[in-house]
Amino acid sequence: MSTITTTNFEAGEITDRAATNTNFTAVATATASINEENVRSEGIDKRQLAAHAYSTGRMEPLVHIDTANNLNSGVIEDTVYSGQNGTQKFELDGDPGGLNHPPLVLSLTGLAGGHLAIATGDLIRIHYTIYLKSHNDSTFASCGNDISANGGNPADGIGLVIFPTWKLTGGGAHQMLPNEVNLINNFGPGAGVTVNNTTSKADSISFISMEGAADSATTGGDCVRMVHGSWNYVADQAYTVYELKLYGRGPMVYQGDRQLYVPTWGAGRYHPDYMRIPWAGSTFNFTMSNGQISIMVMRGDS
Amino acid sequence: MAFAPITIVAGPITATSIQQNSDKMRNYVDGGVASADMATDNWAESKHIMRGHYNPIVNMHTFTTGLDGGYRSTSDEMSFVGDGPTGRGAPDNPVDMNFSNTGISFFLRSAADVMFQFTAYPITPSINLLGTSPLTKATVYIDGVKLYETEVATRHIIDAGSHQQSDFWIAHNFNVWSGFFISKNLGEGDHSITIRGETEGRYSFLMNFSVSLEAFYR
Repeated sequence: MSTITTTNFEAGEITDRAATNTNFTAVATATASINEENVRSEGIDKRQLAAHAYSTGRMEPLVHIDTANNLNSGVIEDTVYSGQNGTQKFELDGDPGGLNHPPLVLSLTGLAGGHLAIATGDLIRIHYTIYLKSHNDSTFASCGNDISANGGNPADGIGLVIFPTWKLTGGGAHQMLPNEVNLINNFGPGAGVTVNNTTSKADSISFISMEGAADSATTGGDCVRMVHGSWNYVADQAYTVYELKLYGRGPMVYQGDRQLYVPTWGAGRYHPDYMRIPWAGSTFNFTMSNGQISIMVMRGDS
Repeated sequence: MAFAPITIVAGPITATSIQQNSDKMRNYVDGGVASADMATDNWAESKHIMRGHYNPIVNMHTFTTGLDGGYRSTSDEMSFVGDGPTGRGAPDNPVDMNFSNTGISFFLRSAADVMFQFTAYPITPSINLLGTSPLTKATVYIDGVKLYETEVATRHIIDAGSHQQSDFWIAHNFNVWSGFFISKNLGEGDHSITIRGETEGRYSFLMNFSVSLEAFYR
């Protein structure tokens, strides 16, 4: 804190220029070293806060915030992703079969430098939603189809897995978020990945139950289910983020010792003689609708 | 630049010199401080920003950098919409009605980026003579504008069979609503965010619902 100490002039006292100059020099010295402690808290406003990295005048604690959705000129589009069995991911690109619906992607290349620069210690908050409208197995139930032999069957944890990815170089491929279990690579059927709390986390992953009504007389696979996923992470290193995307993968089964597993659908316990999942064939068609993806980066002192 | 006094020269001290220095110092303090005068380190840290003002009536905390607020239902509280005038008969363009107590009204001193989040547990009670699985939808509205990307839904499942009507699977059928919306560069002034919806059932209730708002001034 900068302070001024002066010798007061007393009434009737004869002074000289040296004393007067000393007083004003003290003021000059003090004003050259003002710091935050000279300003009362109620006096701090936008002008005193450091300029934002992107020079947009944005205030702390926000470094950047952006969002994208997959509406088509404000209208919700249904997009069918066919032939899914969980052995590989599918991008929510809105374009299977050349539909040309809007993709669910958030590009950050328009920022200064062509990317979002995240510093060590920044808080990264990624949010997304995606709506599983329906799938094509109208008799689906995670305890097996609606026959008396399946009455009282314990349900398997079957669902469609949703996960975000990011691209950290301009020309590179998308990758899983740090320390998240790898669902990008192909595996299965008859294989899975094990989740842990260190380097194979499931923090950013969402698991959408595929239950609709387990009776073909009603709504079958009409799930009408929105999932809201989020990922909150304190950056342990600097990142340059060019793009965010959302992927689906499934159906997968949560089983065993914290494992996301891809079985052979229509075989084994899911054979038509037993749980009969799916009712016919060995793949699923997922109809996905409205979704969003966003990123918010926060920094304490910029 | 920093305050630079006029040096008083030898001889009698004139009132003019003193006045000039006083005027320069006044002008400096009254708006002449330049950024170069400030210390280059430890200038404005978050700990120096005022604590803000909390309004317990609307549960809103106002900070220098923005707003934080929201609402969480009490343990016995429910919100609801009915099928009239919303979704009775499954019209092509149903009317959306407010889910009570899911709205947040707020004032922005300047343009801000605003994030709104919500969560709710919707239930459509079983009522005789509802022959289908009635659908209930909800959507976030900002200033009366429907944000289709936030639309959520749930069905009241009516299972004509019997085998799956057991505790083993029924919990899978209940949707928990959760969602968000980010409004970038929302303008200065008063705003409202709320959840509105429609139902084809007789009623659709929300239990354990909450809404929150974070606004960051630009």
